[in-house]
Amino acid sequence: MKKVIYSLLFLLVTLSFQSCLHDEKDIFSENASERIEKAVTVDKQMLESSSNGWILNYYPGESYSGGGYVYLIKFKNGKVTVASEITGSDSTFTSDYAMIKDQGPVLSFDTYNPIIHVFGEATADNINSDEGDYEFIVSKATTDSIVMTGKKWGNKMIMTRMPATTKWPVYIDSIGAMVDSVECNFKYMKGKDSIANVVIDPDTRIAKITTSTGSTSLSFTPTTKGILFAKPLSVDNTSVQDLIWNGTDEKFTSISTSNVSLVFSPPKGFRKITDIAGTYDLYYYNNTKKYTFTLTPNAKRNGLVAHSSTFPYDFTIAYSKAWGTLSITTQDIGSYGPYDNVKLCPLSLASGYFTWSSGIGMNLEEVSGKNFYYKFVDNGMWSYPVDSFIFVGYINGTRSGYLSELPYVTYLIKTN
Amino acid sequence: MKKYIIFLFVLALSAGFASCSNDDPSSTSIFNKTTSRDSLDLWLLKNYTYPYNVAFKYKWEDIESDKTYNLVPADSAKAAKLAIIVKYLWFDAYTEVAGEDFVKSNVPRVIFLVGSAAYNDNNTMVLGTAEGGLKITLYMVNSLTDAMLKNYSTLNEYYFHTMHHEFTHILNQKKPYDTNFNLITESGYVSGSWYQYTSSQAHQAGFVTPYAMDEGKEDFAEMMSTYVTTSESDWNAILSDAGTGGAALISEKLDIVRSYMKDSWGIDIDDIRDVVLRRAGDINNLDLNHLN
Repeated sequence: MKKVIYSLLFLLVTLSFQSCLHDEKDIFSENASERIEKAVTVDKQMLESSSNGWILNYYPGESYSGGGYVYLIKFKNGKVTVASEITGSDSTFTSDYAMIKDQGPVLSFDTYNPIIHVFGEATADNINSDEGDYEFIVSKATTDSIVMTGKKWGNKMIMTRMPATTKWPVYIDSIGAMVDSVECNFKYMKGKDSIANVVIDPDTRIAKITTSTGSTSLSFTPTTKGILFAKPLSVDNTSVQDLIWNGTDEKFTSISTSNVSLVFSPPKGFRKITDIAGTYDLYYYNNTKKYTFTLTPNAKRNGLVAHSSTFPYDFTIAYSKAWGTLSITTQDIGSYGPYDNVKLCPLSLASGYFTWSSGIGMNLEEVSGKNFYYKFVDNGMWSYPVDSFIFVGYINGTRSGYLSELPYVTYLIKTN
Repeated sequence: MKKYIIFLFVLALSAGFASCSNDDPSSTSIFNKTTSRDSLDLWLLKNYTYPYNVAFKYKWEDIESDKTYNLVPADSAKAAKLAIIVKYLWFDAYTEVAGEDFVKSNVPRVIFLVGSAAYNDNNTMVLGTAEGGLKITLYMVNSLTDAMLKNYSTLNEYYFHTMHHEFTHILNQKKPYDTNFNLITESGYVSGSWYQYTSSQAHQAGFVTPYAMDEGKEDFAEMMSTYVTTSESDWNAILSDAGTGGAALISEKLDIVRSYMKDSWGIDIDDIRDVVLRRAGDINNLDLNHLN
């Protein structure tokens, strides 16, 4: 018994022989709360230090799945002013921001801003939202760039300092012009070998890369000179991220990787919008009557405006930049006479119904073997077969008049 | 000997309690001492925080939000307008009837604004929530238009009905109501599938709204919030829509609500209704564009 007690005592006494030497050096000179306080202050000063703001390449969608967009953001006295190429060069929105202590120093856009929060906002039809972050963990802040990670969806994004002399509208417009001017279908060239097909979709901001082994998707952001992939695009031991558009040669080249380029390579039968433009006869009433229209490419090059001297309304024939195909769907024409809006609506004369739902209409399919000889075909997006179009007048949002029809449309044929 | 051993034990143990560090607490506070406030922040301080000890949080705070949903912050300009209206139609209305102290001790300590709606996957959405008497969250602030802000029935549907509803929960949490209330239409409660019923179906089953069919405490809060925000003629319209059977059940439950408010809180619900409706008629005259 005594032995046990003594050995216990001995044990206890040895426990008290703890070392009191302060030989563990602090890694940091300040404690954690002081350091984060300092980081928040320094980051905030850095954000506000750029008088002309920052360029943010914004990536919504978990794992960069939602494309990329360019935001211009200026921080001043707790307020933030934002512009983007989505909303256009003539609109900016101001709201609040804060640098807070959260998961590290966090940049939080804490009151609503129509640009910053648009991808994070759920709707009744999309309750998961488009997965856009508006709170960011700032991991690095230098005078040139701020590196940060979305708190909820986890995409890493970088803000770069906007040059002090560049005007915002000019910058935004040059991004918009780039989006409108790039082609969509490319061959990925390594030297003289084509090793992949790449489709650059300027609407979704997602590139689809198809190689002999399969296909992948990669989000990109437009830049003033071309496009920037969210991550390096690697094919066959080559890697590119920052591409520069050459409109004359219709190709993308890379600064860092010299032997790689993306060369415009349209799919079989592809029609460029400039080649489609011209004078056409639109046949209707089962080929018994016709109107003559001139088709002119619009500024965004995603449609041709159809104008006729004998038909009262101009309308738009949509053009797919990726596929070079044409279609006519429900659209607003604009005001006419007493009507504040005229709508082009697909009509099923055979069934006696028309619709004002978007996306419904007819495709124009080029008849094989005949150039610019298009046949009207129902696009199948409605429960009734579309065979005609009707122009409906609206006053204050109320249907108020049935103005004209293009009944039983059949062919659109180039004459000049 | 034993004493000696115990003494040794104590000595050995206390030796183990040696502190080796001169870890005095740092004099630096971990809380941010410099808070910059703009005019809205100052107005909220003056009108909510100082008189009522209420934090009116219109700026996004992740920790306050329900992370089940994908939400966005409130628009600050719309939040300011809502803050003016909430004070006028809710805080001031209860102050007028029940006194300042009643409001001070019973309103939630936090009012948190969310810009968007909280959508559920069954095509319903949450307009407001109350948590433990502490916090009320109001959603859809960004949908407020100037026309809506001047339209009492819209405001009522989205906000004031919700505020009175959630406030009733807080009162119920502090002083429970007579549980006989839950027995009056006991078989009518359908829990989560309430949204499959129309207003008329609810009325005829003895409920003022479909949501009242969820459960007893929601029924109680709906009774109270509907009654105090509905004019006498509209209330009678609900009763006539309910038919004889439904109207009798609603009236029976209203009697319990009425006596609960009277006995537990000394408030006549007709007084509250009169004040709320009178103030509702005045909102057109409220200046929402200036913070006074």
